[in-house]
Amino acid sequence: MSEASTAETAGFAPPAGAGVVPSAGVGAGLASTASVGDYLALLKPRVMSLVVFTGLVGMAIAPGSLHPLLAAVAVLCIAAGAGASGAINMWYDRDIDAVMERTRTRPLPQGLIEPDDALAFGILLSAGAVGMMGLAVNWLAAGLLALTIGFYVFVYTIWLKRRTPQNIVIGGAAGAIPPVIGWAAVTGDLALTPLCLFAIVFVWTPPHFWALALTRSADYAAAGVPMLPVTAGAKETRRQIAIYSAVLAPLGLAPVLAGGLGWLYGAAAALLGLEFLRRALAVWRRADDASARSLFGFSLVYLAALFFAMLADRALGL
Amino acid sequence: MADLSERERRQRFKNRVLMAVLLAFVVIVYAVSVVRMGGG
Repeated sequence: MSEASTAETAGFAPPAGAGVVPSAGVGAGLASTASVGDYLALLKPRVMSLVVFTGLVGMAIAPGSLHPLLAAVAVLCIAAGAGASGAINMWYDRDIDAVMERTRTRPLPQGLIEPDDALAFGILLSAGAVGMMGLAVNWLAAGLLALTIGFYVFVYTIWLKRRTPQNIVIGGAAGAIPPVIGWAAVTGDLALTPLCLFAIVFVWTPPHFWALALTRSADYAAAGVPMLPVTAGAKETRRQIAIYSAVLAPLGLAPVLAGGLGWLYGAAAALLGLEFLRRALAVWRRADDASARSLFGFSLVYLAALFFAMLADRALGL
Repeated sequence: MADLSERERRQRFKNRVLMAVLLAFVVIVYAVSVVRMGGG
Protein backbone atom coordinates (compact mmCIF):
# COMPACT_ATOMS: atom_id res chain seq x y z
CA MET A 1 0.00 0.00 0.00
CA SER A 2 1.26 3.34 -0.82
CA GLU A 3 1.19 6.44 -2.86
CA ALA A 4 2.37 6.92 -6.37
CA SER A 5 5.99 7.04 -5.70
CA THR A 6 5.59 4.08 -3.46
CA ALA A 7 3.71 1.99 -5.94
CA GLU A 8 5.28 -1.34 -6.46
CA THR A 9 6.70 -2.72 -9.64
CA ALA A 10 6.45 -6.18 -10.99
CA GLY A 11 8.10 -7.90 -13.90
CA PHE A 12 8.41 -11.13 -15.80
CA ALA A 13 12.16 -11.16 -15.32
CA PRO A 14 13.48 -14.17 -13.39
CA PRO A 15 13.90 -13.62 -9.69
CA ALA A 16 17.17 -12.07 -8.69
CA GLY A 17 19.31 -14.22 -6.46
CA ALA A 18 21.35 -13.24 -3.45
CA GLY A 19 24.70 -11.76 -4.24
CA VAL A 20 23.86 -10.77 -7.80
CA VAL A 21 25.64 -7.58 -8.69
CA PRO A 22 23.07 -4.92 -9.56
CA SER A 23 23.15 -3.04 -12.80
CA ALA A 24 25.87 -0.50 -12.78
CA GLY A 25 24.41 2.81 -11.77
CA VAL A 26 26.04 6.17 -11.36
CA GLY A 27 27.18 5.17 -7.91
CA ALA A 28 28.32 1.63 -8.69
CA GLY A 29 31.36 0.69 -6.70
CA LEU A 30 30.62 3.19 -3.94
CA ALA A 31 28.79 0.76 -1.68
CA SER A 32 31.15 1.42 1.20
CA THR A 33 30.14 5.08 1.08
CA ALA A 34 26.46 4.40 1.66
CA SER A 35 25.05 7.10 3.85
CA VAL A 36 22.50 6.85 6.63
CA GLY A 37 20.08 8.48 4.21
CA ASP A 38 20.57 5.62 1.76
CA TYR A 39 19.56 3.14 4.46
CA LEU A 40 16.56 5.28 5.35
CA ALA A 41 15.54 5.24 1.67
CA LEU A 42 15.56 1.43 1.86
CA LEU A 43 12.71 1.71 4.38
CA LYS A 44 10.40 3.36 1.83
CA PRO A 45 9.49 6.18 4.22
CA ARG A 46 6.43 7.31 2.25
CA VAL A 47 4.92 3.84 2.34
CA MET A 48 5.86 3.62 5.97
CA SER A 49 4.07 6.85 6.83
CA LEU A 50 0.78 5.60 5.39
CA VAL A 51 1.15 2.23 7.10
CA VAL A 52 1.92 3.89 10.43
CA PHE A 53 -1.02 6.25 10.05
CA THR A 54 -3.54 3.47 9.39
CA GLY A 55 -2.04 1.40 12.21
CA LEU A 56 -2.29 4.37 14.54
CA VAL A 57 -5.95 4.87 13.65
CA GLY A 58 -6.59 1.18 14.32
CA MET A 59 -5.14 1.72 17.79
CA ALA A 60 -7.05 4.95 18.36
CA ILE A 61 -10.50 3.59 17.56
CA ALA A 62 -10.03 0.34 19.47
CA PRO A 63 -11.89 0.07 22.75
CA GLY A 64 -9.74 0.05 25.85
CA SER A 65 -6.39 1.65 26.46
CA LEU A 66 -2.72 0.91 26.17
CA HIS A 67 0.08 2.43 28.24
CA PRO A 68 1.46 5.39 26.22
CA LEU A 69 4.94 3.89 26.14
CA LEU A 70 3.65 0.55 24.90
CA ALA A 71 1.51 2.35 22.32
CA ALA A 72 4.60 4.21 21.11
CA VAL A 73 6.53 0.94 20.93
CA ALA A 74 3.68 -0.63 18.96
CA VAL A 75 3.77 2.22 16.43
CA LEU A 76 7.55 1.95 16.23
CA CYS A 77 7.29 -1.79 15.59
CA ILE A 78 4.69 -1.28 12.85
CA ALA A 79 6.97 1.34 11.26
CA ALA A 80 10.02 -0.90 11.53
CA GLY A 81 8.12 -3.87 10.12
CA ALA A 82 6.90 -1.82 7.17
CA GLY A 83 10.40 -0.48 6.58
CA ALA A 84 11.92 -3.95 6.79
CA SER A 85 9.44 -5.22 4.19
CA GLY A 86 10.45 -2.36 1.93
CA ALA A 87 14.14 -3.11 2.34
CA ILE A 88 13.70 -6.80 1.50
CA ASN A 89 11.45 -5.85 -1.42
CA MET A 90 14.15 -3.54 -2.76
CA TRP A 91 16.76 -6.27 -2.32
CA TYR A 92 14.67 -8.74 -4.32
CA ASP A 93 13.58 -6.29 -7.01
CA ARG A 94 16.89 -4.53 -7.59
CA ASP A 95 17.10 -5.97 -11.10
CA ILE A 96 13.78 -4.57 -12.30
CA ASP A 97 14.18 -1.40 -10.23
CA ALA A 98 17.25 -0.63 -12.35
CA VAL A 99 15.09 -0.79 -15.49
CA MET A 100 12.16 1.33 -14.35
CA GLU A 101 12.40 5.10 -14.64
CA ARG A 102 10.65 5.63 -11.32
CA THR A 103 12.85 3.27 -9.30
CA ARG A 104 16.28 3.42 -10.89
CA THR A 105 17.52 6.03 -8.42
CA ARG A 106 16.95 3.73 -5.44
CA PRO A 107 20.10 2.88 -3.42
CA LEU A 108 20.49 -0.68 -4.74
CA PRO A 109 20.25 0.00 -8.49
CA GLN A 110 22.59 2.94 -7.91
CA GLY A 111 25.12 0.60 -6.28
CA LEU A 112 25.15 2.65 -3.10
CA ILE A 113 24.33 -0.29 -0.85
CA GLU A 114 25.49 -3.89 -1.25
CA PRO A 115 22.52 -6.24 -1.85
CA ASP A 116 23.58 -8.54 1.00
CA ASP A 117 23.72 -5.57 3.37
CA ALA A 118 20.20 -4.52 2.36
CA LEU A 119 18.88 -8.06 2.90
CA ALA A 120 20.56 -8.38 6.30
CA PHE A 121 19.22 -4.96 7.28
CA GLY A 122 15.67 -5.99 6.33
CA ILE A 123 15.81 -9.36 8.09
CA LEU A 124 17.28 -7.93 11.30
CA LEU A 125 14.72 -5.15 11.35
CA SER A 126 11.87 -7.62 10.75
CA ALA A 127 13.00 -9.89 13.55
CA GLY A 128 13.51 -6.96 15.90
CA ALA A 129 10.10 -5.45 15.13
CA VAL A 130 8.18 -8.71 15.57
CA GLY A 131 10.12 -9.73 18.70
CA MET A 132 9.69 -6.34 20.31
CA MET A 133 5.97 -6.21 19.47
CA GLY A 134 5.46 -9.62 21.06
CA LEU A 135 7.44 -8.91 24.20
CA ALA A 136 6.24 -5.34 24.75
CA VAL A 137 2.64 -5.43 23.50
CA ASN A 138 1.13 -8.83 22.76
CA TRP A 139 1.77 -11.83 20.57
CA LEU A 140 -1.41 -11.47 18.49
CA ALA A 141 -0.18 -8.08 17.25
CA ALA A 142 3.30 -9.56 16.75
CA GLY A 143 1.87 -12.49 14.80
CA LEU A 144 -0.12 -10.15 12.56
CA LEU A 145 2.99 -8.04 11.99
CA ALA A 146 4.96 -11.16 11.06
CA LEU A 147 2.11 -12.20 8.75
CA THR A 148 2.17 -8.79 7.08
CA ILE A 149 5.92 -8.86 6.50
CA GLY A 150 5.82 -12.48 5.32
CA PHE A 151 2.87 -11.83 2.99
CA TYR A 152 4.51 -8.76 1.47
CA VAL A 153 7.86 -10.47 0.95
CA PHE A 154 6.94 -14.03 0.02
CA VAL A 155 3.43 -13.83 -1.43
CA TYR A 156 3.51 -10.40 -3.08
CA THR A 157 7.16 -9.66 -3.91
CA ILE A 158 8.49 -13.13 -4.66
CA TRP A 159 5.41 -15.02 -5.82
CA LEU A 160 2.85 -12.71 -7.41
CA LYS A 161 4.57 -9.53 -8.46
CA ARG A 162 6.34 -10.88 -11.53
CA ARG A 163 3.72 -13.42 -12.47
CA THR A 164 0.23 -11.99 -12.58
CA PRO A 165 -1.65 -8.73 -13.11
CA GLN A 166 -3.55 -9.67 -9.96
CA ASN A 167 -0.33 -8.96 -8.01
CA ILE A 168 -1.56 -5.79 -6.39
CA VAL A 169 -5.07 -7.17 -5.84
CA ILE A 170 -3.94 -10.10 -3.70
CA GLY A 171 -0.77 -8.42 -2.49
CA GLY A 172 -2.86 -5.50 -1.29
CA ALA A 173 -3.74 -7.59 1.75
CA ALA A 174 -0.31 -6.82 3.20
CA GLY A 175 -1.01 -3.10 3.13
CA ALA A 176 -4.48 -3.59 4.58
CA ILE A 177 -3.43 -5.42 7.77
CA PRO A 178 -1.79 -2.53 9.74
CA PRO A 179 -5.08 -1.12 11.13
CA VAL A 180 -5.86 -4.62 12.36
CA ILE A 181 -2.43 -4.79 14.01
CA GLY A 182 -3.13 -1.48 15.72
CA TRP A 183 -6.50 -2.73 17.00
CA ALA A 184 -4.96 -6.02 18.18
CA ALA A 185 -2.18 -4.14 19.97
CA VAL A 186 -4.77 -2.42 22.16
CA THR A 187 -7.37 -5.15 22.63
CA GLY A 188 -5.33 -8.32 22.21
CA ASP A 189 -8.25 -9.51 20.09
CA LEU A 190 -9.90 -9.13 16.70
CA ALA A 191 -13.36 -7.77 15.89
CA LEU A 192 -15.60 -6.83 12.99
CA THR A 193 -14.60 -3.15 12.93
CA PRO A 194 -10.87 -3.65 12.20
CA LEU A 195 -11.81 -6.25 9.61
CA CYS A 196 -13.94 -3.57 7.93
CA LEU A 197 -10.88 -1.31 7.86
CA PHE A 198 -8.91 -4.16 6.32
CA ALA A 199 -11.58 -4.59 3.65
CA ILE A 200 -11.62 -0.88 2.82
CA VAL A 201 -7.86 -0.63 2.29
CA PHE A 202 -7.88 -3.96 0.42
CA VAL A 203 -10.53 -2.79 -2.08
CA TRP A 204 -8.99 0.70 -2.31
CA THR A 205 -5.59 -0.67 -3.39
CA PRO A 206 -6.38 -1.88 -6.96
CA PRO A 207 -7.98 1.33 -8.29
CA HIS A 208 -5.23 3.34 -6.57
CA PHE A 209 -2.41 1.42 -8.27
CA TRP A 210 -4.15 0.92 -11.59
CA ALA A 211 -4.81 4.67 -11.87
CA LEU A 212 -1.06 5.12 -11.53
CA ALA A 213 -0.26 2.23 -13.87
CA LEU A 214 -2.50 3.74 -16.59
CA THR A 215 -0.20 6.76 -16.77
CA ARG A 216 2.99 4.72 -16.62
CA SER A 217 2.14 1.68 -18.69
CA ALA A 218 5.07 2.26 -21.07
CA ASP A 219 7.51 2.19 -18.16
CA TYR A 220 5.93 -0.98 -16.77
CA ALA A 221 5.93 -2.60 -20.21
CA ALA A 222 9.61 -1.77 -20.74
CA ALA A 223 10.43 -3.54 -17.48
CA GLY A 224 8.19 -6.49 -18.38
CA VAL A 225 5.86 -5.69 -15.53
CA PRO A 226 2.52 -7.54 -15.70
CA MET A 227 0.40 -4.66 -14.49
CA LEU A 228 -3.18 -4.75 -15.73
CA PRO A 229 -2.81 -1.97 -18.35
CA VAL A 230 0.10 -3.90 -19.86
CA THR A 231 -1.53 -7.32 -19.93
CA ALA A 232 -5.21 -6.48 -20.44
CA GLY A 233 -5.04 -3.01 -21.95
CA ALA A 234 -6.13 0.42 -20.78
CA LYS A 235 -9.83 -0.11 -21.58
CA GLU A 236 -10.17 -3.18 -19.37
CA THR A 237 -8.15 -1.47 -16.62
CA ARG A 238 -10.55 1.48 -16.63
CA ARG A 239 -13.48 -0.92 -16.40
CA GLN A 240 -11.88 -2.73 -13.47
CA ILE A 241 -11.18 0.59 -11.73
CA ALA A 242 -14.87 1.50 -12.05
CA ILE A 243 -15.96 -1.90 -10.67
CA TYR A 244 -13.64 -1.74 -7.64
CA SER A 245 -14.64 1.86 -6.97
CA ALA A 246 -18.33 0.90 -7.08
CA VAL A 247 -17.59 -1.67 -4.39
CA LEU A 248 -15.39 0.70 -2.38
CA ALA A 249 -17.93 3.53 -2.12
CA PRO A 250 -20.53 1.60 -0.06
CA LEU A 251 -17.84 -0.44 1.70
CA GLY A 252 -16.63 2.75 3.37
CA LEU A 253 -19.85 2.69 5.41
CA ALA A 254 -19.19 -0.81 6.75
CA PRO A 255 -17.59 0.34 10.04
CA VAL A 256 -20.80 2.25 10.82
CA LEU A 257 -22.96 -0.80 10.12
CA ALA A 258 -20.57 -2.88 12.24
CA GLY A 259 -21.26 -0.49 15.09
CA GLY A 260 -17.67 0.62 15.44
CA LEU A 261 -18.06 4.20 14.26
CA GLY A 262 -20.77 6.84 14.24
CA TRP A 263 -22.57 9.21 11.87
CA LEU A 264 -19.74 11.74 11.55
CA TYR A 265 -17.54 9.09 10.01
CA GLY A 266 -20.49 7.74 8.05
CA ALA A 267 -21.18 11.13 6.46
CA ALA A 268 -17.51 11.60 5.56
CA ALA A 269 -17.28 8.08 4.15
CA ALA A 270 -20.39 8.58 2.02
CA LEU A 271 -19.15 11.87 0.53
CA LEU A 272 -15.62 10.61 -0.05
CA GLY A 273 -16.92 7.38 -1.56
CA LEU A 274 -19.20 9.22 -3.97
CA GLU A 275 -16.36 11.50 -5.07
CA PHE A 276 -14.07 8.49 -5.56
CA LEU A 277 -16.72 6.79 -7.67
CA ARG A 278 -17.35 9.97 -9.69
CA ARG A 279 -13.66 10.26 -10.56
CA ALA A 280 -13.42 6.54 -11.34
CA LEU A 281 -16.36 6.82 -13.75
CA ALA A 282 -14.64 9.82 -15.34
CA VAL A 283 -11.57 7.65 -15.91
CA TRP A 284 -13.81 5.05 -17.55
CA ARG A 285 -15.66 7.52 -19.80
CA ARG A 286 -12.93 9.99 -20.76
CA ALA A 287 -10.14 7.47 -21.26
CA ASP A 288 -7.35 10.02 -20.82
CA ASP A 289 -4.29 10.31 -18.60
CA ALA A 290 -5.52 13.46 -16.90
CA SER A 291 -8.54 11.74 -15.36
CA ALA A 292 -6.36 8.79 -14.25
CA ARG A 293 -3.90 11.18 -12.59
CA SER A 294 -6.80 12.96 -10.95
CA LEU A 295 -8.17 9.69 -9.55
CA PHE A 296 -4.74 8.64 -8.34
CA GLY A 297 -4.22 11.90 -6.48
CA PHE A 298 -7.69 11.75 -4.98
CA SER A 299 -7.21 8.13 -3.91
CA LEU A 300 -4.49 9.31 -1.51
CA VAL A 301 -6.70 12.09 -0.21
CA TYR A 302 -9.56 9.61 0.12
CA LEU A 303 -7.69 7.18 2.35
CA ALA A 304 -6.12 9.88 4.51
CA ALA A 305 -9.43 11.74 4.92
CA LEU A 306 -11.35 8.53 5.67
CA PHE A 307 -8.95 7.57 8.45
CA PHE A 308 -8.89 11.14 9.79
CA ALA A 309 -12.69 10.94 9.90
CA MET A 310 -12.39 7.78 11.99
CA LEU A 311 -10.15 9.62 14.44
CA ALA A 312 -12.50 12.60 14.56
CA ASP A 313 -15.54 10.39 15.03
CA ARG A 314 -13.94 8.55 17.92
CA ALA A 315 -12.49 11.71 19.47
CA LEU A 316 -15.83 13.55 19.38
CA GLY A 317 -17.81 10.48 20.33
CA LEU A 318 -20.45 11.07 17.65
CA MET B 1 42.33 11.48 -0.73
CA ALA B 2 39.09 13.42 -0.84
CA ASP B 3 37.16 10.19 -1.45
CA LEU B 4 38.87 8.51 1.48
CA SER B 5 38.11 11.42 3.76
CA GLU B 6 34.46 11.47 2.67
CA ARG B 7 34.22 7.73 3.19
CA GLU B 8 35.67 7.99 6.67
CA ARG B 9 33.35 10.84 7.55
CA ARG B 10 30.30 8.86 6.43
CA GLN B 11 31.51 5.78 8.26
CA ARG B 12 31.99 7.71 11.49
CA PHE B 13 28.50 9.16 11.17
CA LYS B 14 27.02 5.70 10.48
CA ASN B 15 28.81 4.31 13.52
CA ARG B 16 27.38 7.05 15.70
CA VAL B 17 23.86 6.51 14.34
CA LEU B 18 24.20 2.77 14.94
CA MET B 19 25.39 3.40 18.48
CA ALA B 20 22.45 5.74 19.09
CA VAL B 21 20.00 3.16 17.71
CA LEU B 22 21.44 0.42 19.93
CA LEU B 23 21.31 2.71 22.95
CA ALA B 24 17.70 3.64 22.16
CA PHE B 25 16.87 -0.05 21.83
CA VAL B 26 18.32 -0.80 25.27
CA VAL B 27 16.43 2.14 26.80
CA ILE B 28 13.16 1.00 25.20
CA VAL B 29 13.62 -2.58 26.42
CA TYR B 30 14.36 -1.31 29.91
CA ALA B 31 11.36 1.03 29.95
CA VAL B 32 9.04 -1.63 28.56
CA SER B 33 10.25 -4.06 31.20
CA VAL B 34 9.44 -1.55 33.93
CA VAL B 35 5.95 -0.92 32.51
CA ARG B 36 5.19 -4.60 31.97
CA MET B 37 6.26 -5.42 35.53
CA GLY B 38 3.78 -2.86 36.77
CA GLY B 39 6.23 -0.19 37.82
CA GLY B 40 5.31 2.33 35.11
